Amino acid sequence: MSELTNKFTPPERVTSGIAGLDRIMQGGLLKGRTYLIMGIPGAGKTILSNQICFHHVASGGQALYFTLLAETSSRMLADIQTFDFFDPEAINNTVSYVSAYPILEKDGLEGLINLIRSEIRRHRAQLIVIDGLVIARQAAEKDVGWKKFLHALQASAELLKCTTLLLTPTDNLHTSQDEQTMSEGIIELTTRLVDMRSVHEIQIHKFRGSAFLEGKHHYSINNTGFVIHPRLEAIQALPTSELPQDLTHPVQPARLKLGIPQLDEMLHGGITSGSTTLLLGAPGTGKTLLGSHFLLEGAAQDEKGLYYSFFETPTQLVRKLDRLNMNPGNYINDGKLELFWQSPIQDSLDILAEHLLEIIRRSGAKRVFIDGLAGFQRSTASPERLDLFMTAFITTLRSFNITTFLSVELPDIFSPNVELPAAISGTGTHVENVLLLRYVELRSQLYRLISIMKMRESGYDPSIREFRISSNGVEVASTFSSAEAILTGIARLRNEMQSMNDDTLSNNETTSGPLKRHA
Amino acid sequence: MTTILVVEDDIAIVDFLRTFLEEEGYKIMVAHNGEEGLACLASARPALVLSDLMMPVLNGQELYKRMQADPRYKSIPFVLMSAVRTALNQKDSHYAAVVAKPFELNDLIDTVERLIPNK
Repeated sequence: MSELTNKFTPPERVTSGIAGLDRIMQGGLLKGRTYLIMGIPGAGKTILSNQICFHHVASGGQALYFTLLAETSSRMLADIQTFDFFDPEAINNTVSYVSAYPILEKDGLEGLINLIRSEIRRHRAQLIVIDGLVIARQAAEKDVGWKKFLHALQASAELLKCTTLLLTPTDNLHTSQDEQTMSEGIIELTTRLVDMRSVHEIQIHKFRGSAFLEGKHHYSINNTGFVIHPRLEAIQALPTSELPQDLTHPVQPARLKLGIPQLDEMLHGGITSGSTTLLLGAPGTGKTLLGSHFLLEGAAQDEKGLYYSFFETPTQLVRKLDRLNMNPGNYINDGKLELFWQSPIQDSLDILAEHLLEIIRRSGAKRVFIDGLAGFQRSTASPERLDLFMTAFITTLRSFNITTFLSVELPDIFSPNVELPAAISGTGTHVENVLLLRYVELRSQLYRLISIMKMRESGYDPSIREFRISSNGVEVASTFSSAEAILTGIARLRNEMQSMNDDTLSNNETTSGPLKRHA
Repeated sequence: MTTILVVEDDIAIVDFLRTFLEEEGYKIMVAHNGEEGLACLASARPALVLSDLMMPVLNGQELYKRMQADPRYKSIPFVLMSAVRTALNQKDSHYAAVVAKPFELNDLIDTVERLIPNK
């Protein structure tokens, strides 16, 4: 017997078994509460509720599935057998399907509530689903009868501590105020078209007795059933319980070198650990190579690195680095460097983020190079959220003390103006460092220049330096004089350059890229 | 047949309790507040009173006090139900049992059987 005490006990949770959904609900459904699951036909209400039932019985519970639809439950069972969560052993053992339509037709709502109560008790069920609530509503002769039924259902759920899921179509939205008012939670499944693709989203509108992640979250249905991806920025908005020591203690962050001596010098010893660096540049300026230097230098120092690309495949990258004698093979074989390629046509930003964060957790990478922000841009069906997403993503990486390079392609090859893509214009304020790579054209020749545009909490050399891609990778001039000469229109001729060896670039021949700097 | 007086203003809960207690072989009398409960007591003597705490007109605590003050009803076991856990302290009460809502139905039936051993 329960007894009154003055001690507050948090409500007991019933997990859905769907990690993303449980995260959105901050731990699961509340025991003994009634939830409305709404969605257009085909949105997946039946799959979702069956998946929750099978998870519940797999955890030792008992579940009941009442169907008010005219179709038999055998057809529904045939359909859900294709999912991994389906367990034939559980059928009519721990999860039972009850066709309630005949009782409803014969005895009305009173007969239905009596059936529900007696079956709950008979099976000692802690979870029930009522599929086709709209049919029951149609059976109510008057509104007062419908309200009485709903109230009786809610009271039974509460007093029997039986969590109840009511499934109803969304097109009944305007006529289902009673259900919405009575339910302790409302979960809606929606599908919208973006160009020619369908985007599935789940949203909790109401969740009494608990906080939840507000807004819409992407979901997909595969052979495992529902897979739900909470919005990263919604997760990030939650109060953080723990930050890495480097972020909470007033210690100087470590400096991570890129392995390019002149650039490391410009950076006053390297990039600070846990920071994020944007590599800005037009196509072909050398962003991938610069980021690869960062990873390879880390691997040489025994720090695990991860290359995550939307465009260059691992094979293409290895070939490119091999041609420049950067030889990543040994580090890859030793597990100090992992290369991943991700199609840039993924449907969801959150899937990308989950995938990447999972790889980072698994690999223990401390240096990460994400090659191509455009991959994120192309993945989102909601461009307006990209800025907020990137901010949340960068914050998440920082909270793991990951030092990240992120390449961003600038559209204008020769423009003197640097403008971040509008969709991520706010991201620039959240990153610690910005490096700009650009071309300058002079006397029918193209030159590459690098500059540090921003380096938070650190001094840096603000000069513009010439750099080139040589047989040893990226080489940066040791002084700004060559860059100054280029920018003021006094570019050196080949023979002039020979005499400038001391203060500019080394004499290595350019071996890659479309651009030869020597006439 | 053993009679239980259920004093509860929520019709759905009354309906729920009636269903299950009748299934267990009890006769149920219903009142929707303490005042009605006293009226029921005057007409028939139940073996147990199962009363909600918060009700209009006369609440469960007041009903209990009125019963304790009347020698005719003083010995009837009184079970108080409440969803407000902090409203009462078990140690300070003299109720036969105190039930926090929501309760396990089987626990409630066990309590009823304990308080009415000779059904």
